[in-house]
Amino acid sequence: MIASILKQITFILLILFLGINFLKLLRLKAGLAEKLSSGFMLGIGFSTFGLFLLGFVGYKFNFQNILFFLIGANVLLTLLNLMLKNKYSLDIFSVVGFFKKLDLLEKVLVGGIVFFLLTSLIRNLYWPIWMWDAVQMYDYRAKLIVESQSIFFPAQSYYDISYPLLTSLLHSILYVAGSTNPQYVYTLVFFALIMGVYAFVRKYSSRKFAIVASFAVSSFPLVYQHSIQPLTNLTHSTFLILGVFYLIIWLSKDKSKDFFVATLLFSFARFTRNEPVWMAVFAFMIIYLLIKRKLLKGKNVLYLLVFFAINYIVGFVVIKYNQWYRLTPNKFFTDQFGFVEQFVLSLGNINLSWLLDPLVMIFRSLIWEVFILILFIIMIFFKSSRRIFKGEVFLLSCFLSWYLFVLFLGSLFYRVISKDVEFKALSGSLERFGIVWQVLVFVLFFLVLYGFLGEKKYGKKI
Amino acid sequence: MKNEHFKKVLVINKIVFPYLIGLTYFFLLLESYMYIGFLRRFFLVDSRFFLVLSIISIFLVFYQRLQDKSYKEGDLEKLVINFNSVLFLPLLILYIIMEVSNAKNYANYVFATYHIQPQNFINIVYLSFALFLLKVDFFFTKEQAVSIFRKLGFWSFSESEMIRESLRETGKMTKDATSLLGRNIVLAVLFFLLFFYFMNNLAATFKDAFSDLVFILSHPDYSYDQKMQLKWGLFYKVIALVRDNTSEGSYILLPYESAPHSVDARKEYWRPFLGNRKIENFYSGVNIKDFDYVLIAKGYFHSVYDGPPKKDYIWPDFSVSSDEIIYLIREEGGNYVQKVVNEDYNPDNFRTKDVWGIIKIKK
Repeated sequence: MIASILKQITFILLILFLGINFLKLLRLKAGLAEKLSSGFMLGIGFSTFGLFLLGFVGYKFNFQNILFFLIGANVLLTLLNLMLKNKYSLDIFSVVGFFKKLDLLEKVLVGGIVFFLLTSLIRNLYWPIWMWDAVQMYDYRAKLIVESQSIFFPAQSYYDISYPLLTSLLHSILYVAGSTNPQYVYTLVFFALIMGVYAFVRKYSSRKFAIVASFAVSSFPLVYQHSIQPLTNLTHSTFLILGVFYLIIWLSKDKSKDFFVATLLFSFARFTRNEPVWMAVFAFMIIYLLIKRKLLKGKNVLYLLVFFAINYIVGFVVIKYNQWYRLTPNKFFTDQFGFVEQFVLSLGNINLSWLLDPLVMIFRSLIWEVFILILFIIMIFFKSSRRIFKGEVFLLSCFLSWYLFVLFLGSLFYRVISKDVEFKALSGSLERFGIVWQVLVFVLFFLVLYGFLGEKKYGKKI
Repeated sequence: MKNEHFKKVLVINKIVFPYLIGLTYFFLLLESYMYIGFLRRFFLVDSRFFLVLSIISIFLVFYQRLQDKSYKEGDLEKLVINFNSVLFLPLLILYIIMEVSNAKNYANYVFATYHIQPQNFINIVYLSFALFLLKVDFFFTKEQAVSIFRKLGFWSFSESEMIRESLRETGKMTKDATSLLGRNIVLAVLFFLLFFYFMNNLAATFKDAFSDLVFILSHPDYSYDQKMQLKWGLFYKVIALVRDNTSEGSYILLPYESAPHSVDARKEYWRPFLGNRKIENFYSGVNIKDFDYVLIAKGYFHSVYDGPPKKDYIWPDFSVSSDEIIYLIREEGGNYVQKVVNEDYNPDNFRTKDVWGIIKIKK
């Protein structure tokens, strides 16, 4: 039992260090909160995708091999960092100082965050994996991977391989370390999301505001509920949310480091759920740079190509993996843009009254947030000369509007190609998009509120 | 001018406040006893509408108390606030007891036994808590409270003073004062939205976390099967029955995967629990003798895909020559009991009953 716990802690720490080492390699000035959020999520992405790629050449999925891979990757990155003279600091000790500085309100709010994290952890440790999709697929194939020591586990139907492997591989890593219930890893993802929101809001506002924003996010029913569900939703959303944060920083400040982190986070989101969100982000980048007349300036075209290539490659590898099984039912699943073809083929079914269905569905799922966003947009137009009209706030508002628009288009597309019963099931998918939407709207909310209340403080570490 | 209107609102609110609180308490109690929506049948709005109105009213009284140095409580207002401060703790304890009782027994225990719905009763606790905040002198002096609000920047008192000053001196708003007033109004709207949304989320998440925590603490020794049965209900009972009464490596026949068997015929739900047993769906031309067991399934687990349940339906709807039939049957009280019979399977014996089980095929 103790040996198993120690093995799991070792793996989790190695995954975290992998991400932190990468951030260090990029020389990204990150505080502890940012390291714990982006570092952990990047670590998850690198370790699962790395093991997945190695699995193609027959690398066995067992304890020694995983340990060797994680230590090897960490040693390599550490050596590179030392060669580049990137300094390491033990900022974990700054946590004590941080807590000492908090006032009563901040302590209460941090206590609230700890309460939600602890209850999430206790619930994850107590309840077995019981969510339908996890039992029948995500977790089940993790057990098969461990059993067969290979990513090419004995799949029985297309359903078994229809979703990318990130969360299953994460379960597998913990199973290999002796875990009987790897569900607790979603509490760590929940923690990474809270820390990510803190780190981003803190860049532009006071500590109090950042803590209030993190507390608000930790208390979102949708986010909290998904922290105790061993599905892909929270992990996918966390990758996207953190990706959007870095994207906004890159677009407003032209920092290439942030661009690379954003690109990797979006591609790991794709390795969690193979959905065309990255295309929406790609289109947003092009439109924004075009409007700002920056598309052909500097290395922006190169950046766009890199973004496209990395995301395309992740999707390509996932599709190649699916093809290995020869279970793929039709071209739709073998072509990254095949959904366009499916849409064109279904155009004959279009019924104008269907326009209402997606609207109603989105409004039901995102009602409060839609209202708040509309309010923001009005405010931003009316107060354009004031200090809230800053790059990041404007960018985030544009991104959220674009996201809503794409969500509507996507729902409309789904309305066209699906049956009535299938379309009703879309509310589940909208729930997943709702996490991203809610968190980002709330971050925007806090930035605007802070813009009203005081001057912005840029680039401040915690 | 706007300031005068606001003053009028405050005066009216002060008069309405105790009656509104009393009425809201009454409505919330009524809906705790009946159901959410009971009021809507008669007044077209439910009790939560009055709860929101009451919270706005409390907020205005709170503001007035901090702003007006010579503020004097009305008799009824005093009575309501004092009465509530006595009630708050018992209400909170009562709510916790209800949640603990539900967790200790079953999800609907309190309502089934005492006809009170904890999920509606929590609104009374919220109202009481909001009212309790009006006992601000219980926590801070008035000066401290004002200072906290200033620090938080929710409402700038000095700026409000500047707006008033500008009105007094010139009879109209200066540009700066208009801008400040606009800023404060936007701020108030933002703050109210944030507060409302935040409290809504916080209450829902806290309730979810708290009730499950109470359950976990009162059932620390539950086995895997017990936990799974709580989450999956009858279907897991059926899975456990099949797992416990079939041998390793055996071959089990499930119904064809379509309505009304969209859940119980789905192999993916069975395989994580059945080890190395082989499972197959029924297909036309199937040779029953190839299998060791056949599932008895009533179906209709998924209302969307399976449609409404039929009483006179059972699968298999054909006779099977069998050694033994082990099944769960629903008795009058609603509980399922396990029975074993050594006879051939005849669907007519089970068709009208709520039965799930396994047939051991005669070889």
